Amino acid sequence: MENVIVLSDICKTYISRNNIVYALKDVSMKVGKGEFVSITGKSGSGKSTLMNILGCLDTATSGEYILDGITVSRMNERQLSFVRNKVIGFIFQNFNLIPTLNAVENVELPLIYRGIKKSARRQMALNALEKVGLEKRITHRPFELSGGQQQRVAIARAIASEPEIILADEPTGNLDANSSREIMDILKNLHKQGATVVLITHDKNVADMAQRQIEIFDGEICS
Amino acid sequence: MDSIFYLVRKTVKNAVIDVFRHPLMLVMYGVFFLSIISAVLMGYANSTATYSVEKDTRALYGGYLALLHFISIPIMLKGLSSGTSFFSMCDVNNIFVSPMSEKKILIYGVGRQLASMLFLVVCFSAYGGMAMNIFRLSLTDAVLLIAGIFIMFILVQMITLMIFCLSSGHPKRANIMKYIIYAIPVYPLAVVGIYMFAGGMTVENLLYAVSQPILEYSPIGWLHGVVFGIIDGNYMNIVIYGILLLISFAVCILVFVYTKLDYYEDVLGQAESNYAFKEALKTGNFGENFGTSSQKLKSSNIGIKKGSGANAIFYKHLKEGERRSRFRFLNISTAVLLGVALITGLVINQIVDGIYRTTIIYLGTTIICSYLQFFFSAAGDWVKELSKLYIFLIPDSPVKKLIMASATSIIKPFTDGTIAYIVLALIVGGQIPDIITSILVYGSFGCVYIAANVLAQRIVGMNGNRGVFITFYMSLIFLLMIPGILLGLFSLSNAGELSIIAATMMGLPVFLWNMLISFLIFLIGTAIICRKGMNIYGGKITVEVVLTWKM
Repeated sequence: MENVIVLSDICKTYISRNNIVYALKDVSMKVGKGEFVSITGKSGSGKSTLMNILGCLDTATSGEYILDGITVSRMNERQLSFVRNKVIGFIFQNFNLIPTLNAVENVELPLIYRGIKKSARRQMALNALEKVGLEKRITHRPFELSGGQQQRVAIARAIASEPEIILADEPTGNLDANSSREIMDILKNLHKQGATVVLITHDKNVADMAQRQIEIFDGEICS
Repeated sequence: MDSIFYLVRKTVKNAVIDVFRHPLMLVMYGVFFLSIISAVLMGYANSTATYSVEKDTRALYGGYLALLHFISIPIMLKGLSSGTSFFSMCDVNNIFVSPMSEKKILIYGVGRQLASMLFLVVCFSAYGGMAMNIFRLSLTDAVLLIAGIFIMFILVQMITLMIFCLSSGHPKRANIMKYIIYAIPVYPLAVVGIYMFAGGMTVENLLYAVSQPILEYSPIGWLHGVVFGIIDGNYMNIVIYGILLLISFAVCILVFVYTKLDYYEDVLGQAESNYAFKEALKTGNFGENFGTSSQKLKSSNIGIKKGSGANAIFYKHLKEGERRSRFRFLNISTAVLLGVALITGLVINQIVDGIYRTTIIYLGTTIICSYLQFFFSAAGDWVKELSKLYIFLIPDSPVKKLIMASATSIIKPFTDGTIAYIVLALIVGGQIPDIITSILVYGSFGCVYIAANVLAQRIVGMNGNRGVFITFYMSLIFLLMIPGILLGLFSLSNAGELSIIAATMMGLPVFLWNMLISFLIFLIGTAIICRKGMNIYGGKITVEVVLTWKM
C-alpha cells in the first residue's frame, strides 16, 4: 500500500522557564492511502501536537515529515498553507463554524481559498452538505443547529474540496452518544469512498471504530 | 483576499437579514440611531443661535485630550497580551488553515477590531452634538472631532499591532513596553499638575493648563494637534503634527512588514488555550494543566467556610475577589471615581457661591459620576454563574439566588461612592443628608445597570448578536432611569425651604425609584436561573416567564 503520511523521528520541543519540554520524542509512523487510523492517548500525551504537525499547522523541531510524497518538513509557511488547503481537510472538536455565516457559506469559504469559481463552489458545497445529510439546513446559521448538525457542517466543510486526507481532532468530543455515532458513521462512509482518515481521540470506543490504532504516551508512540 | 471580502460581504448580509427577521431589533436600532441623530441636530440647531458670551473651548481641548488617552491606553495594553484580541476561535481555525499570508490575516484581524469600534464612534456622534451645543462649534468642527476619534482608533490598532509584533515571544520587551504605555498619560498629568501647583488650584488655572500647546508634544497629543489645528486654522500645527502622525503610521507598518512572527505557536496556541479554559470553566472539566493563577494558597485560606443556600454564592464571590486582589471592592474604577468626584467638586466649588454651594457640588458630582459609572460597570460576577450548574441546583428562592449572585456587584458602587464622597466632604464640606444621599444615589445607579443587564440577558440571551445586546441594554438603562429622574426633578421643584439640601431632595426619589425598579427586574429576571437552557439560545418574554415568576 502506498503511504500517504510518513513521519521519521519527529521531535517537538518547547522551552519553558529554562527547561526543555518534549511534546513529541522520536515519533515515527506511517499511514497508508485509504487507511482509517486512530491516534489515542490521555490528555497531555502529545496527541494534539502530533495532529498539528500532521496537519502542517506546526513544524517539528527535528525529523522528517513526508506528506503525499512531498517533504513537508522543509517547506516555508506559504508552501505549507497551500498544502493545508489542497491536501488536508480539518475537522475540529469545537466545530469552529463562523457564526455570522450560514451552513453553505461556511462550507464555501475554504473553496474560495482554492480559487474555485462561484457556481462550481456553490455546487460543491451543496454536494458536501448532502453527503452529511444537511441538504435541508443549508441556510441555517450555526446557532440554529444542534451540536451534531454543526459538526456535520464542519465535516462538509472539510470534505467539500475532496482532500486526500481528513484529519479529525476529537470530532465527537463535544457531542452526545447519538450524535457521536452519526459522525462516526459519516467518517466510516467517507473512508469506504476512499478517503484517508486520521482521527485523534481519547475515547476508546471511538478509536475502536478505526482500522488501526496508534497509541501515544508522553510524546512517544507505544503501539 | 477574495475569501476575506467574501467573509465580510456575507457577514454584513446576514446581519441585515437578522435585523429584518426580528422587528424588535429593527425598532431598537431605529430608536438608537434616531436619538443619536436628534442629539446631533439639536446640537447643530443650538450652535447656530446667537449668544452674547464668547465661547470658551479650553475645556474642550482638555476633555478631548483626556478622551484620546482614555481610548488608546487600554487598547495598547491589550496588544501586549497576545494577538488573540484580534481573533475569535473560529477565525483562527478557518483563516489560519487558508493559503493566505500571515500579514493579510493580521490585517483582517485589525479590520475586524475597527469594524467593532464603529459602533462606539456612532455613540460618540451624540457627544459631537453636545459639543456643538456647549461650545457653539460648527457641524464641520464636530465632524472633525468624531473623525479624530476614529483615526485614533485606527492609529492605536496599528500601534497595538506593532507592540504585538515587537513583544511577542520577548517577555523583557513586553515589560518595557508596558511601562512605556503606563508612562504615556503621566506626561499630560504632570504638565497640568505643574501649572496648577505654580498658579493655584483654581478653575481658571485648570482651564489654562489643559489648553497649553505643550500637551500636544506627546504622540497622542499629535492627533489632538492636527484636529484642533484644523478647527482653529493653525496650519503650522496641521503640517508638523500631521507629518509626525504619518511617520508614526509608517513606522508601525514597517515593523509589521519586517517582523517575523512565529504565528501559529503564538496566536493559535494562545487562542486554543483561552478557548479550552473557557470550556473547562463551563463544564468543570479541569485537567492538571489548568489553573486560574500560580498563586500559592495558604491552607488556612482554602475553603469558602461560610454561607448556606443562595448566600454561598455571595461568599464564593467574596473569596474569589480576595484572591484577585487584597482590596476586594477597590480597583481602578474606585480611583477614577475619586478623581472625577474631586475634580468636579472642586470645579463647581470655584464657580458657585452662596448658601447652595455645597448642595450643588453634590448634585453636580453625583450626576456626572453616575453617568460615568456606566462606562466602568461590567456585567458582574452573576453572569459567570449562568455557565455553571451550581446556581440551578441550589434549593433556594430564585430571587434570593439572583440577588446573592449579584450582591458583590451591587456592593461595589456603594463602596466606591462612600470613599469618593467622604473624601470630597473632607475637602469641600457638605451637609450630612447630601453626602449620604449622594452615596446612595451613586450606588443605586449601579443596581440599575446590573438589573438592566439581567433583563437584557433574559430577553436577548447570551448567544445573541453582541451589537443588539448592547443597544438593547443601553436603551433599557435609559428607560429605567427616566421615571426616577423625573420624580427627583418634581421633588426638587417642590422643595421650598428644603432647597438648601437640593441634592437630597432630588436624590432621594431617584434612589428609591432605582432600588424599587431594580428589585422588580430581579423578580422578573429570575426565569433566567430557573432553567439553564433558557439563556443559551436567547430568551423571549412569553407567558412562560410570568408563570415562572416566583417570590
